[in-house]
Amino acid sequence: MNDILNEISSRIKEIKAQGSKSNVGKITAFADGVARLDGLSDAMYNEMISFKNGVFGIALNLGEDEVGCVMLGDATTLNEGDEGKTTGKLLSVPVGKNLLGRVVDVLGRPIDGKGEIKCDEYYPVEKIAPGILPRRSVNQPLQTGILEVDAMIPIGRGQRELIIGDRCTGKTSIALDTIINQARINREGLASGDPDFRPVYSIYVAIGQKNANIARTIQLLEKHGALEYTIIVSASASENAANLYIAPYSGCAMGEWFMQNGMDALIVYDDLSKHAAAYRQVSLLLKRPSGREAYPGDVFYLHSKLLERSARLNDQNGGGSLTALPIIETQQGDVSAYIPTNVISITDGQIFLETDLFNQGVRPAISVGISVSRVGSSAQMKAFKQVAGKLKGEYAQYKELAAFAQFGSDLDARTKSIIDKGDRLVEILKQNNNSPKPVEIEVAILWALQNGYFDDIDTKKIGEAEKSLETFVSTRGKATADKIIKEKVISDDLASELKSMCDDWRKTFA
Amino acid sequence: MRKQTKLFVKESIGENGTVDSKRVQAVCDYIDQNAPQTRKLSMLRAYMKALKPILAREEALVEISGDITEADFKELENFVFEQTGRKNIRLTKVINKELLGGVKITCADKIWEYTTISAIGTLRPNTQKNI
Repeated sequence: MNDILNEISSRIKEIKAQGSKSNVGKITAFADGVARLDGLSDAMYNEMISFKNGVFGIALNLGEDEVGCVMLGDATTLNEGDEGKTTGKLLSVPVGKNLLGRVVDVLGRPIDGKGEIKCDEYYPVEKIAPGILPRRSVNQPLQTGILEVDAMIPIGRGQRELIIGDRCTGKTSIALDTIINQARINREGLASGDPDFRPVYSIYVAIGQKNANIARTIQLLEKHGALEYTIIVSASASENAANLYIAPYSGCAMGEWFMQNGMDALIVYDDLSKHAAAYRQVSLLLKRPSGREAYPGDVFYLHSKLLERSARLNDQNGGGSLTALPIIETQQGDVSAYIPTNVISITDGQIFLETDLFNQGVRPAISVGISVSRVGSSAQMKAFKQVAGKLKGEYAQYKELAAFAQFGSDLDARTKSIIDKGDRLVEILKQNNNSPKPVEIEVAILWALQNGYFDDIDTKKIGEAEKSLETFVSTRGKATADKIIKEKVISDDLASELKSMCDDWRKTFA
Repeated sequence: MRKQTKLFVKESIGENGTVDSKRVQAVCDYIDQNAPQTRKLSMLRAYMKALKPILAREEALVEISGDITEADFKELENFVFEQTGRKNIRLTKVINKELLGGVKITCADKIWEYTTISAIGTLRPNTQKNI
């Protein structure tokens, strides 16, 4: 008891005569998570307004007579006539490595039941993106582990690559496989003790997802040992629209901490279509004028200010990066709709997933023809460029000639060989869910393909052959695989090593 | 109606910058005589709503824990003038023992608080953390 009294006494002595000035307002109307307040004449745009019972809101509408405030969290205890006070602060979230492995809400509060998160730093949720001068061009690869993406649509650290497609086409799977691959690379890199190794930390922002899906995602990441390198920001479908609106910005603030401290991070926004719909809901409730498809006029700015915060910084600014993988859901494959076209014009490329390909069993169902990475081979390892450089062109040629496949007997030898090679390529590019491949195996597989080691294997057995080669490279070909990672380019020596490895493998696979 | 309400509010303010009761009466008479029957009530309500914050800015509530001298009260008046830039504010003194000490001034939507109870309130989160 003496300790308690001493503590209180020392605190009383420390009290300095300090006044406070606050600006208050009374709720005149409260419905659908939006409160209108009288007063609050000094409120700033995006300022946090505090209410009773620890409820917070953000001032989003600064009207002549009233302030429109969207509530964050559970505001069911508020009523008309309750008082709201300005805090003088913009909305901020805790940031730092202590958030890794945790599931948090949009305010950075833990919701996984694993206890409090100790954070010393807070970053504002809304922040101006880095300008032109602090940036550097993207030239470091971000290996997704998905052969089709790494070969033909390579992503670099600091790039924004959109994943777009209809529902149930594998968009989230591509993002999660990328996160799982980063975790695997982090584990191996940190274990190797290489001082130049740069791990990539991941942030997965679930916007408007079902709670069951979020739980499944957490379990999946935990199963593959990826959760310890990942922060999950959850704004599920049962939360109010304001939470869904804020969630990507909160996740971005957490990612920016890594970027500004010289580290690399990857952020997945799943998905921005629901984010736009939530913003539409908030704007309509605030009685803002609506435009096309009832979206407010600044819906482009909603996404551009978010995605511009992902960048690669130059060495004077720490050399960190934040790579973004936004996800957009289309309706019936319509990429020319409002929100998809907006986000396509903002990002540095897109991976387009088709339902038809998915139903045909081509998974990942990536439509290579209209998928693009604007960064391209600058973000690809040289060895990869050597084996995958011509792949996209060959694939496009194959697709063009595939229509003639039904006239198999009437085709000339060259056309037939292109179609055969294309069929084998399609089979090789198929990959199981949650099975990202290491880069050295991807290079080895593509080298084997380009050098005809799959030409005499029946198309139906290509998948089996690929798996067999993968196992062979991981076991008996480990030295060659390590050399690919170390040298990063296929020299003549390495090429002859690859040749002898593939010859040995071919003998084991009938 | 918004423009009209603004005009009524402008007309209600006297030469000294405060709301003049005679002018308010004149505006109400004008609305009564000239507004269409169906819109009289809504116009009067809008006028009242627009006038409320302006009236609130002309008054300030000064809460103190114990009585103060005239000189101290004059100092508080000067403080309110400095903060708001308005001289014609009517200060009302109220004794509120719950403040424990200090002064709290409320003018419209602004509150200036220099009280013991608010200082003790800042202690609570820190103390609870350390116990």
